[in-house]
Amino acid sequence: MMIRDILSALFILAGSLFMLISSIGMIRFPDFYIRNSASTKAVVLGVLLILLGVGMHYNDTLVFIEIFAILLFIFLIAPLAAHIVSRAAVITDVEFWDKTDLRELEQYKNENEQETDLEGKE
Amino acid sequence: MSLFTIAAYVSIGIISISTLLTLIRFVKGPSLPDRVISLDVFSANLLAVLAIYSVLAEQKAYLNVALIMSLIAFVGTMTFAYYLVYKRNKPQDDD
Repeated sequence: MMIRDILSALFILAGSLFMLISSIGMIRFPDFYIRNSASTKAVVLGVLLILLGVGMHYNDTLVFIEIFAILLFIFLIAPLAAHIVSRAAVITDVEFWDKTDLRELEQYKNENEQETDLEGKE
Repeated sequence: MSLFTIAAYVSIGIISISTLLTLIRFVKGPSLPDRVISLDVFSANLLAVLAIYSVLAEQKAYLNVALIMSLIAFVGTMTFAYYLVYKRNKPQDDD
């Protein structure tokens, strides 16, 4: 009983610390793409820890099923959303950080020159 | 006031600070995609606060609200991404 409370409190605290770390990354990082990676990864881990802590506190099968649904959804959509927003940013020529190594991107663009309206006009 | 309640209040405070930092990025973000992802992080923070508050209020229904919140945030992000691409392609179509 007591151990369960302590564990769930620890999980919730750790999760909110990860949220804080991700927000500090949002402020401090130099570039949209790096900020996007920080926001996606750390936020997913933070939400995972917080929801696990909440489920441990309730200790109930139905609540665990619900939490599993939320987690499945978040794990599906977070990489998807990050990918699509980054792709839109590349297409709309958002600035890269000047220390980023862009050779692979240039090579990719040159290779696929003809079919690369990767932006696809509808 | 048990240990768990104190931990929950402290984490709500931490998440509030992180929401404030996210809002700073939202206000000064140099480009539109920056604002889109900061809204994404904002909604994730909101989801976390809802989950913790459902423990404090002993109301399991708030977890359903969290599920729907994450759904709506995803749809919003997708819509903004498509809007960005559309806004860039449109002048070319007019030429």
